[in-house]
Amino acid sequence: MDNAPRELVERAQRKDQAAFADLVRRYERMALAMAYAIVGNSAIAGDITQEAFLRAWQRLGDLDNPERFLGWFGTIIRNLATDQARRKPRDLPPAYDNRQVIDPIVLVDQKENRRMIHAALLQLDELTRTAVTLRYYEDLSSKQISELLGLSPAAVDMRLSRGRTVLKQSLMNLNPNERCQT
Amino acid sequence: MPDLNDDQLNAMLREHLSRELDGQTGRAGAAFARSQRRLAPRLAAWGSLAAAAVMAVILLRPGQPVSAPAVSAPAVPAPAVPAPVQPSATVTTAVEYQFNSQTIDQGMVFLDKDTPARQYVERQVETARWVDPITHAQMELTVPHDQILLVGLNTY
Repeated sequence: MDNAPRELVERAQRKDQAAFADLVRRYERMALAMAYAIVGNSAIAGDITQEAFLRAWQRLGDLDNPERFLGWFGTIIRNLATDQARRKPRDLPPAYDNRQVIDPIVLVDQKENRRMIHAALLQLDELTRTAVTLRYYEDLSSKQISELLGLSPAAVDMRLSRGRTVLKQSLMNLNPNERCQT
Repeated sequence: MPDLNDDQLNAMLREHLSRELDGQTGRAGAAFARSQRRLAPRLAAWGSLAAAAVMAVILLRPGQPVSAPAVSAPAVPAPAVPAPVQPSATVTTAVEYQFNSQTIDQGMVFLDKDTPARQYVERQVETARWVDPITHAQMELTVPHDQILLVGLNTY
């Protein structure tokens, strides 16, 4: 993911729908990763992402410096996700694995692995979990993550390193045969 | 228990996040496109409806016959009555437009024996409110809308 081109943001500020649609395509995965790191539920993260882009479209005029789009948009996502996380969680059915539901044994193993990875991620503090999610889902650089989270790149590197250590310790008990499949 | 190395951890996290989130991609773009398609014609249509409603209020106002009868003026002057405030037929202000959308992931369903799909229910409510700036009469319209989305899944 590269930085938002200034020209694209400026066009979107002038209500150019095509330019904004381009921004949505560029940053949707990043937004999903951030929201998911905070709320821990993919469907709700999808809702938040939709809402964040609609708000950004309505409020782009408030953005003084188009080059700061990423940080500004990151704040919208964080605020929406934090508000959502404070509310009582919705009673959602579990999201099932898409690929191997036919074999119940595989399904049980996968659900267990998934639960363990999810639990391991929850052991991280929110900023570290967000940094880890952005790095592993969207391959963002430390500089890009720092811009989104309002941290220095060095602080992001430190959190990523600490996060990896915690995750390794938490996931060591996962069945080694399953590691390649998860 | 063997240690988990960096490559294993990386693969595990990437796979996990991909499985969790890939199914959600594309929704934001679709929602934005829908909101833009929907907004302009509906606001215009609702604006017309509001104007029509105000016209109806004017025409059906109590004590105001639709056509004046052709009779001579009464000998005794009528008592002075404050003139009713005239609602504006042309000036109504849309003061609020709200679009709420909620998507619920209902998990996997089978369209037939070999065709899995993920089912989402998208609940949307559009609300618009108008105010007549002269009489301060308000009108509000709410349109609920439910849509079921089925997203096909690849089987391996």
